[in-house]
Amino acid sequence: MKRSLLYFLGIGLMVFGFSACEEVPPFIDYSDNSGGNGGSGTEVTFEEIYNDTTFVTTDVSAKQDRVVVMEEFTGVACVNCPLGHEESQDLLDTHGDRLALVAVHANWLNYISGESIQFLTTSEAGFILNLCQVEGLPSASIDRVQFDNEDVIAIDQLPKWASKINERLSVPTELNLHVYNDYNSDTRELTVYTQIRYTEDVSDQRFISIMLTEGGIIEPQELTDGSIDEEYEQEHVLRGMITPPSGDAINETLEAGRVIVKSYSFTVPSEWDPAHMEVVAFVHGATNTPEIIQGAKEYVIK
Amino acid sequence: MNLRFILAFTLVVLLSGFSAQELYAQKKKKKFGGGKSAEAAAPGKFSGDFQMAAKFFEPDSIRGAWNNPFYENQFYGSEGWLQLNYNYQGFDVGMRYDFFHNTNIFSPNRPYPAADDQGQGIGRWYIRKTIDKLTIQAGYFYDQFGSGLTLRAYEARALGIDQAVKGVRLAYKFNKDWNLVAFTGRQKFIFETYKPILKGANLEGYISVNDKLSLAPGVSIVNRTIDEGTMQGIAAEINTLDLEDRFDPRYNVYMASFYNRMSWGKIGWYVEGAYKTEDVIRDLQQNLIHPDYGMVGLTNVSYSTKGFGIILQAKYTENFDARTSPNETFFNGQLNYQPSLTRENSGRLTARYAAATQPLGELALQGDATFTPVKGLTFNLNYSDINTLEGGRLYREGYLEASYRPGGDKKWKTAWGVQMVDYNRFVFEQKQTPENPFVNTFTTFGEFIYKFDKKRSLKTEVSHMLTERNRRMFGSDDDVYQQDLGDWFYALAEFSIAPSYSFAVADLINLPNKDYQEKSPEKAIFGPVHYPTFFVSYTKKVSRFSLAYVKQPAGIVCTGGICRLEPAFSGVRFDLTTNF
Repeated sequence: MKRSLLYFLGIGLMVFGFSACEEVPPFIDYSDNSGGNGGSGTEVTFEEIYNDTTFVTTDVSAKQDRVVVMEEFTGVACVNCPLGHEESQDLLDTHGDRLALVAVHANWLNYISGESIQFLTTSEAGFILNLCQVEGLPSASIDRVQFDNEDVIAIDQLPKWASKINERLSVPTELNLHVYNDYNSDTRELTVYTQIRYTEDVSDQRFISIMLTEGGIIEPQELTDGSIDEEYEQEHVLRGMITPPSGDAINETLEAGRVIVKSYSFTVPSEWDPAHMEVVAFVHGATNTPEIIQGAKEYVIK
Repeated sequence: MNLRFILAFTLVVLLSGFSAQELYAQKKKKKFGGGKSAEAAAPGKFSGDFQMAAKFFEPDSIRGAWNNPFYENQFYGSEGWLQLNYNYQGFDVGMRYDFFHNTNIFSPNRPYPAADDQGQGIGRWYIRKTIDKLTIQAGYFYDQFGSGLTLRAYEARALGIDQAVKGVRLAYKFNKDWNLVAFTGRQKFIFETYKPILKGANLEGYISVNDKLSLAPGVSIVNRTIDEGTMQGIAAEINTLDLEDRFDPRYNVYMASFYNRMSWGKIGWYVEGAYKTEDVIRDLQQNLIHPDYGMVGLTNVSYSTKGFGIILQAKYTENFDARTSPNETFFNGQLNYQPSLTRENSGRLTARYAAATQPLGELALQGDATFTPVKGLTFNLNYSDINTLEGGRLYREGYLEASYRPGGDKKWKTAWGVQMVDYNRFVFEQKQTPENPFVNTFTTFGEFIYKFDKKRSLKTEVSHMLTERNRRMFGSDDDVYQQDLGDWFYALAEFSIAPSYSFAVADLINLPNKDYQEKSPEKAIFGPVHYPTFFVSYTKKVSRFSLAYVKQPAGIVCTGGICRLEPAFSGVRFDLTTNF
């Protein structure tokens, strides 16, 4: 037994000896203080077309920089969600035109008894939360990608959002997506034009989804310290979708040079303020491969 | 000649000596042994068990059981485990089939499996063979080193926890008192494994010093190595931090513990200390941090004699969050187990508030005494106190129970008691406010069991929980504040016909806080809210079937010292367990 004990102590000494060995760490950038990509990407010009059409041009566009779509899952009765709002707004300030932000209010933690004025949950929220495998609030999907070493699409650790966005920004996209709007303030009729220009051949099925968001909505919010801010400004709130939540199928052959212009009409309800509204459009895969290929955003009223 | 070479050479020498000794022992046995062993002649043997639960969800907006897929469109969830074992000529093989159909045990708000996951399959398998003193096992295994501070691979099915290790386990029994276990593998996650590699060893034994004094010492070492893919994700996150906050994360973390259980007549003393090297973990705000070390000290002293027993416990924890990687949260990826130094209460109201262990830092004390002054009358007194390392209160409990079983007439027994709890809901559940973080309770309870005859018995239980105890009972000048859902009343009647049948009906009633109603009528709960339960079970030999209609408020659910927040439940639950 004494010999065996000595063997074990010897192994223990070896193990702890190795613990003192120098590891080669992963690359940590100690020279860059920016923390991520900033500003807008490469401008790719295009011709605004105002009728639904599709054709193939030999003049294939240069690749547009990726615009990442971030869906932040939140709730008015979620005490940690204001921290999520701060983080996502910081990311939006950092990335500007290269990040499209949508706050999807979940169908739980969506009501404060005696305080709430309205429900900010939409009929599409359940589908989106299920698709992104949301387990808790706050969390966020980044281009609806399930990243390596993540169990689900929705990431509930706020400090991870920045690095996942950086990772996606560097991924080239197969198409250029432009969105431009026409709003008639008399009739409250909004027409959203989407123009897709493919820069390479693609055989997978693709869909397009169009979301409408509104900011500056005064709606009580539970705060981290447990109090309620009755004058809280809810920003980037998903108000609804013009397309089904599973997207509108793109049935054309997707080849380099393919141009697809599609328009969608929508009457903005009187309760919504178009001056604070934004259209977020994105092309994505089917429900079982929901990755967002490219995003775009444009204010309803410029 | 550098340190690394010396240590590697030492390892080779030690292992060579170890292997040579074993080889000699095997050869010696082969030379002098002979004939077929008894186990070789025995036929094979099958055994196993089956457990399942099925839930049917009924929406109930009044009680908070609503607004998630279970209550909106799924309405059903189930989970089950079928274990099969076979033993033949010294070989043990086993397999377990798991199924999860819209289960809520992993996430109370999201059904599992997701759309593209089957949610069923082989959840565990193993092959095991004992050769003389050496046992070799491959596949999934469960194990614990000491009290679990460095390694606890276990399962708690009700909480969706299955932290088996998939790999190879070796156990060597030196003699009847000493054994060594070593392993290498990856931690299980439902039907897959986490990528980081785990390995470790544990040596423990027993020393009988004399008739009165014995020692059971042990030492363990565990190492976790983060894989390259996981580490690149961590590095990418670090590279988004401000320059002054960036650091070099370590792939390897090493944990070691020493423990000993001493028995000296009527006195017992257990002590364990664990140490962890620099590791990348997350703080309470989920930010990445890298403390230079982590440590846990745990000790308990007990004394037991006829009619009296006492146990005193203490625990110190600092930066001892041990996981496969900082990507995992809640119960996921935990490598170890740290006991919560609180009483495991079984009453419906006395168990409502339980303190989950804070691995980043806590100082906990507990004392428990049992006294039987006369035959049939027993008193139990318990006190626990848990604080942060900075002195902030997390949890405090005082508990006193008296139980009485009259001599001669064994037809009835009774127990009564009181409990006071201060529970920091702001820390444990992130509810309430820093100015009013606590739920301060005063609970009274009583239980009466009457045996009509050898087969039939009736158990009744009543309890009442008062919140805002300090203001309402002790006259403090605290503001009127609704602590959690307020006051409760509970009553249970359970009728059993041994060995087969059990029927129970219970009601948990949430009582309005009248002071709060007057202060904030727009926010207060008006009228009592009932949470009834109707339960029936049938036991046939080794099989037990149970069916219950349940309304349950949101709260904490604890199993074996592990606790989780649970949302409200409304619906029907069916359970089945059996073995063969």
